[in-house]
Amino acid sequence: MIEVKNLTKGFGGKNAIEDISFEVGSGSIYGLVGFNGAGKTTLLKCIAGVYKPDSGEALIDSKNTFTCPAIRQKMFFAADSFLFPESTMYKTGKFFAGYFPNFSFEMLDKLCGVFGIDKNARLTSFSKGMLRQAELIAGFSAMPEVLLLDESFDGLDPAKRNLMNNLILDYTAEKNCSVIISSHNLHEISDICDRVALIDGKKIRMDRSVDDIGADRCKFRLVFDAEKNESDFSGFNIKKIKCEGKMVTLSLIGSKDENEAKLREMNPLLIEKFPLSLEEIFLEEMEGSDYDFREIFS
Amino acid sequence: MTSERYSLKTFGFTYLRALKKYLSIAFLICAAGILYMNRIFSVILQSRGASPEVMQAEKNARLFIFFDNSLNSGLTSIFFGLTWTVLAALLALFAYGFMLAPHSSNIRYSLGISRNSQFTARYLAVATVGFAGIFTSLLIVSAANAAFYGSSKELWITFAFLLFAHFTSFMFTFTLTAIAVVLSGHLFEAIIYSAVLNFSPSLINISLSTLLTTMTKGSPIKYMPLYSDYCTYLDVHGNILAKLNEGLFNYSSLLLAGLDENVCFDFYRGEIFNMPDFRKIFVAFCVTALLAALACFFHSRRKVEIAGVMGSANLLEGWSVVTVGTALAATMGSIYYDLEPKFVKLITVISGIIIMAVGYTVVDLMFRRSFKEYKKKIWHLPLEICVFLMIIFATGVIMNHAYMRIPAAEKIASISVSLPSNLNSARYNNISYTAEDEKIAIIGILSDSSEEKTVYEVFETADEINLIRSVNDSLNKSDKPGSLNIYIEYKLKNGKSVRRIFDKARLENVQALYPLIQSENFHRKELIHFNRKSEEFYCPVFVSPNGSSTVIPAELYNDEFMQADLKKAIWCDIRDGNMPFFADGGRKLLGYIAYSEYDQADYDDYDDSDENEVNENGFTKLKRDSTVNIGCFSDYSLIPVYEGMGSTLSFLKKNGLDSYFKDKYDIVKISRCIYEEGEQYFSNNATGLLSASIYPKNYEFELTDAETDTVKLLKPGLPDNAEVFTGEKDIAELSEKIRLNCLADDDGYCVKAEYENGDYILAYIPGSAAG
Repeated sequence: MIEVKNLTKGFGGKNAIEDISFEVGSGSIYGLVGFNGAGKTTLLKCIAGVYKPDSGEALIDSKNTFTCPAIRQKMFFAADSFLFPESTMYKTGKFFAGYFPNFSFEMLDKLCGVFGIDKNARLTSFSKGMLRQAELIAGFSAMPEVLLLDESFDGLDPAKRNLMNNLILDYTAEKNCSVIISSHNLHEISDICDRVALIDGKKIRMDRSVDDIGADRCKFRLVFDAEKNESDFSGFNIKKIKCEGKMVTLSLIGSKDENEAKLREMNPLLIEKFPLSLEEIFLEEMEGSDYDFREIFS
Repeated sequence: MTSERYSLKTFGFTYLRALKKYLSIAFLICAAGILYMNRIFSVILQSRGASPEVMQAEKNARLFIFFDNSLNSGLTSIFFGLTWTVLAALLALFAYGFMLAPHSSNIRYSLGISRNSQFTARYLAVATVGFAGIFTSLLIVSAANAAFYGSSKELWITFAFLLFAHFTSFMFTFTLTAIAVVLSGHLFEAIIYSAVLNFSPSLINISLSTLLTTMTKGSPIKYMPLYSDYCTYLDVHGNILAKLNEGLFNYSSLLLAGLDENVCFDFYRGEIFNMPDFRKIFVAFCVTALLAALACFFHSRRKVEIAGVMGSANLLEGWSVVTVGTALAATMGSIYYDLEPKFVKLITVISGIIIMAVGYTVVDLMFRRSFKEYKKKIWHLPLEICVFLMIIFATGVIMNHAYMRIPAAEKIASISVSLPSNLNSARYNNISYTAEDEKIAIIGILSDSSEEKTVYEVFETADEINLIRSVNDSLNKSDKPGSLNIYIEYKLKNGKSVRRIFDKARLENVQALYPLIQSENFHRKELIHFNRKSEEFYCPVFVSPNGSSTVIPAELYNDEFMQADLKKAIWCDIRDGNMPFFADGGRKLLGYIAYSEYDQADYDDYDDSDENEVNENGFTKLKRDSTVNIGCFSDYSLIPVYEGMGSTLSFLKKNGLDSYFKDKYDIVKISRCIYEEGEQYFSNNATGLLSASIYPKNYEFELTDAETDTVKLLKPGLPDNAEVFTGEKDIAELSEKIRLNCLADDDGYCVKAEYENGDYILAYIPGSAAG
């Protein structure tokens, strides 16, 4: 079990993450979503014991990962670049076997076979996607109880991505492993994670189970007989609204049915209801943090 | 698995993995070691090569590559010595370089091994590699030596010493580089700071030594202009820096180079085995171990996020600016050492502040590459300047105050004083000669600056102690710089000793010491000194007052009893106080009796060995007087013979030897000018003692004109406005007053005396003789 308690880490006087707390239970997969530079990697490195937090702590089985190195034998951190590019998969396995007591060469052989990777080939000859696969193969072979994956799906083709998803799900279920995945790929996150946290540069903006994530949000498309503007919807908890003459698209927070009933009271000519995808929720939550590209060249 | 067992396993795994990775470097260390060591061990061979058989064996051994000295001469030797240093630094970069790259540090620090174990395992792996390489190379060379020349206790003691010393030196370099890596964020930064840290012991040594000589009075360290051969002097004077010198300071350049002297130098001279001093190396070893612990501590606190980022090593940046800046500032002070002390201090402080400001700016901008960051961190600069000023304060004020303390008279058992050789030179003047075109060109050189020729006399009476204390006091108070050296060493009753060196003493300080050599006590010691020295002397040469005649009388050369009687006569004159203490213008100088440690007959310029007889004992008997080309010798003891030296003169007269002091040619012209005007035409006046030069008529010397860069040929002489005397009476009167050497005084004259054959002499008439 992973516990993150009030974790803060800064660089050069500015906090990259601030007062972050969450828990990841055994057999659970936790997704970290956020824009570039939001602090996902910093958070993972703090949990992995690479960075010393400025305050707070990261615990695995109630032991501090920074001050108790022995606990890190239960944890594999797949960082965004691989360790020995000049080495081979087999030699890399030998290296990790020295630090992970449960390291399984049998698993290594199996997974190399599944992914079609030559364990005796030099890693310098591998493509980016193959290096990612090699990294994950090493991670699974280490048989950890905690797996930290930092954007590990980048560069994988759809087939390998699907295979990897299944492997993570199976491994988590079989070994009762706690997994944290950081990714920009929101589809994968929603596919395999139990919970998802949205990190926005310092704090966790949202931390919910995947099932609940869209429960209190809904998107509506409405057509009225006259033009409408934002002030006409002041009675709603609006996350996002777009008025285009008589047509209005809006994303509302709150009960779907209650919101729909209230909207029908406005007598729209047409009303359509859509569930929000994780990507849409992500974009809504991140709204205001990016440039509006349409304004750049205007 | 318990965490302890697990920790041991990961530690062992990291150690073995690093060991396996760096094992190949042990072979390089070994190869360089074998080639480098052979010189040292070859010297050992020579030390044991007293018998012809061993010497022959040594010659044979030269065929064996490991014992070929030619491989290790000059730069080659430095190269091999440097190889180990470079390998040690490279190993540190290999072992700890992972923390300079973000991707590798991410993985390494997420592994289940503590930072301390991670550091220590690699440290021990490199120590094992270094030890194995050095041990093997030494063992091979030692075994080869033992095989050729036999095993000996000395050989294996040397083996142990060299192993300990080289291993310590190797690990010292490795540890300093490890500190540089641990504190740096980028490889480039680590390399630069590694170089600074490795030179730091030398920089600190240079800074402190220079500051202690330029900023203090009476420091026990002799001033050495621009760092020349500091260590020799540090060692000679036995100060605290010297105690750490070989082990800690200058470890790379001088510890390794110094090994020869530690173990073998005495061997080389055929002397007995000199037991090497393991203590210094032990101190260095302990310092290395402490530095390793410090590196481990730094590593445990290292911020991983600085990996790959330049400009994050604030501590090393500060260290570099302070150490290099202080060394350069101390150098600036030493360049102007001859100025008054307050100006020297001012120059050191001002130049230091400027150098540090410029140095800080350059280093900071080079690494941070951001003017904004430079401005943000500019507060580091005043902090570093404060450290520099504290060092200046510690040396220039605290240490200066300490060195100005004079032990109380009642605590002093005895005092040794180096009497500048000009005090002794009136009796035992060391003169070197050069010969040109069969004409004798004599250039008198006073060896005041030579350490080994400086005579230390011991004084014990209350009067002597008080006199020396008062001279020390006046030296402390004097602000006008001079050019004489006075060394004083107080031996205290509690067994300790206090040394004071004054490199900028003035003539009046030296003159204040004259009463010391006029005491009965001093006379007694002089006699012992002369007796001891005279045992080494061969037959004396008679030198005329102007040096143009140098003769070994045949009758004296052939009669050892007569030679002994002459020594005895001189000895009696010293005992009775008949010999003046220094050049005495009030008494007529008849000539000199020159003693050399060489047999002058071997260098007889008139090669008529066939005429001489050799008796059955191999002793050569001269048929007639021998004119000696004393230009062949460099070390003469010149005893002046004055009127009033009754014993010597009566001996000479009794044996008909007094005529040998007369000149071959008559003086036909004398030019004279007062000393100040003629000073620029003479050399060797810095010590306060003037010595003459005698030239053949065609003598010329080269003078380079700095502006035109052309070489001019000049004849030595006096200024055009010099008084000229050609009358017989004037010449006779003046020539009696001319001295080859005398103490400089403002009332004296510089003189050019020209002989009938065209030779001439540039000499002096002391004020006391001028009348």
